[in-house]
Amino acid sequence: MNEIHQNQIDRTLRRLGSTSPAPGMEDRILAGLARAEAGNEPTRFFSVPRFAVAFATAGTVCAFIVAGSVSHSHHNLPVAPGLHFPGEAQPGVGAASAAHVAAQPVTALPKDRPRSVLKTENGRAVISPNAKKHSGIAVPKAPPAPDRAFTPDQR
Amino acid sequence: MSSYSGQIAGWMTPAFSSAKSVDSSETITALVAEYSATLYRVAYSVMRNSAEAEDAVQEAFLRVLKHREKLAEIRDIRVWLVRITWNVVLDRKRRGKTRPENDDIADYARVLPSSDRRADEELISSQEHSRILSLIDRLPAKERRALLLSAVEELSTAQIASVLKTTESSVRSRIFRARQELSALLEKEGVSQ
Repeated sequence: MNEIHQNQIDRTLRRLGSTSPAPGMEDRILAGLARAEAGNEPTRFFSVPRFAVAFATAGTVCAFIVAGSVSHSHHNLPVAPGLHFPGEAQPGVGAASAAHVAAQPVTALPKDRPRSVLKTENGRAVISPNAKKHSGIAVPKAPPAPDRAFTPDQR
Repeated sequence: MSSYSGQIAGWMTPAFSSAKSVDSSETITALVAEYSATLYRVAYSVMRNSAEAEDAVQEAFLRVLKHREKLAEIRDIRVWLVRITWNVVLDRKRRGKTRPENDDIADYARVLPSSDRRADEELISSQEHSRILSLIDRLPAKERRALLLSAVEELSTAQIASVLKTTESSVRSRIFRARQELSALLEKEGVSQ
């Protein structure tokens, strides 16, 4: 390689590698970093209670949904509670204890009586002596005919 | 689950995290004081524009600030910083957002203060300097990068190899080839002139 050219290259590289920054560069860099840090501060401030804010927002939204739903169903129900006309649609949320009217009229049976009649004070059912009992297995009362009697000779 | 608990622990102990941030900002301030000039030279070797080089150093330190939690894990902080700056510079060059190389007299004055040299010598030297730099730009990327980083005095061959993610022997051979090709180009230029 040419010695002169090598010297020229060395001089150029030395010159390139010995450049020094304009005075005050460090301060400018630090100021820039401080600006960037200050710019990030609000985000960090908000990121700290982010979880709590998310919880609160979710809770509020849920409360609104439930309240809206209940309000909607209440607005669609008749004004007088318990008076539900058959065939009328009952949308929305209804209480399980609400009065439900059968679609068809229900007629009472002729000999119907309340179930509580059968109950006694000690909690045991009492069968009245006049009650009709089940007959059970039917056993013929009359003895069998003599011609069909069972004799030891037939065995 | 562990990340949540970590987050919650972070919220529960704001004093600890603020002390940590103060500590990291002090570390970054110390890094700026110690390495900004070196990083400027690394950036300037590619940019050849003082404002552009300073911007690159600024961006490099912003990246350091962004990843400050990694500072404790870094083994060779100089190589790490030079690599960040080098990537910033190459990104900027690739995007073509660089300002033109400056012929600002103030920059030349800063490059090599030589009060004992005459003005005409300085002018010839500057012309020669510009000519060789333009020839360096014509070199293949690998050779050119190794040569430019070798110009930064603070960097050893091992550190250059680490920045370029190659071996020391590869760096040496790249520099040798670069100088050879540059010499050949100068020879050709000299003949043509």
